[in-house]
Amino acid sequence: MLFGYILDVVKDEKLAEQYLAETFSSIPLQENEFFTSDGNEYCKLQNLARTALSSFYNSNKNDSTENGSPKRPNSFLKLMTATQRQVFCGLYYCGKTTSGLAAELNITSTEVRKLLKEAFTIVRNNSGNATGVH
Amino acid sequence: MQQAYINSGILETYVLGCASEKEAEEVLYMAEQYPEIMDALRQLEDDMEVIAANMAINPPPHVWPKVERKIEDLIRHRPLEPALYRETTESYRKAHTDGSHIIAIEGESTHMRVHKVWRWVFLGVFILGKIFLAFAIYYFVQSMRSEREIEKLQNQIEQLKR
Repeated sequence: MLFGYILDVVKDEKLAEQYLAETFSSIPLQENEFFTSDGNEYCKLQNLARTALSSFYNSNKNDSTENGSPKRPNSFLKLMTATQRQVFCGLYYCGKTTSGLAAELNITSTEVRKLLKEAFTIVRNNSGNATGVH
Repeated sequence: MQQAYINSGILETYVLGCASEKEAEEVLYMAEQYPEIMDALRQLEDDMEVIAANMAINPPPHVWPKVERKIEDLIRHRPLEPALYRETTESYRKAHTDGSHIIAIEGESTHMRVHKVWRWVFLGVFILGKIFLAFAIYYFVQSMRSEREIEKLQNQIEQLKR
């Protein structure tokens, strides 16, 4: 699952492999935090991946090509409105902050969070009939 | 109030990992205080897994040995943790406040590790030892031979005297 996420962020298989290796090898360095804290294991791994990808996010901060949407078809994104998609992809794939994205879209941070909530509701309501890339 | 907090979208920003440090602390505090918020957070984490599973692909098989090697390297060359240093200084402080100025150090291992340069020093000493031994044997044989010669000559002189 994590490889799919990283690949959608960096859009290059070789680079994705490197980031995946970097993510997993960062676990022993943060083992206390990783193994003792509560929560979903995948989310913890994804947070580590986001940390590993931080330099990539920063280097592509100004690249607004397709608003960070993944190259591969994503059934959830198709169901979102353009703004919901822009918010979701900006935060999820481009690693932007809510305040940064709010300034970019010329809306408030509260509106960004509301749009993100709507995007998650779409995911939850359609999780039963999702057809992604496997 | 809890429902308003859940509806604000802050939990979504937290699970995506894009909440600020202050926001993240607030979310964790609220989740600890209110079970509804904790449930909503867990549900969102499940949603994150659904999103990821929807786009999941298997990494190429050659990636895992690379990851394993990296982790093994990290474990082998793990730097000393500052906690260990603090424990040492604490024990040192205790030893001083107890009035004792001697810290007993007892190594469990029967082996010791030395610098690699000693390998060449030991080799040099070994070779020099062999050379000295060869010289010693050579001079010993020579001296024995000379002694025998002297004895033979003395016998001849005595025979001539008679």
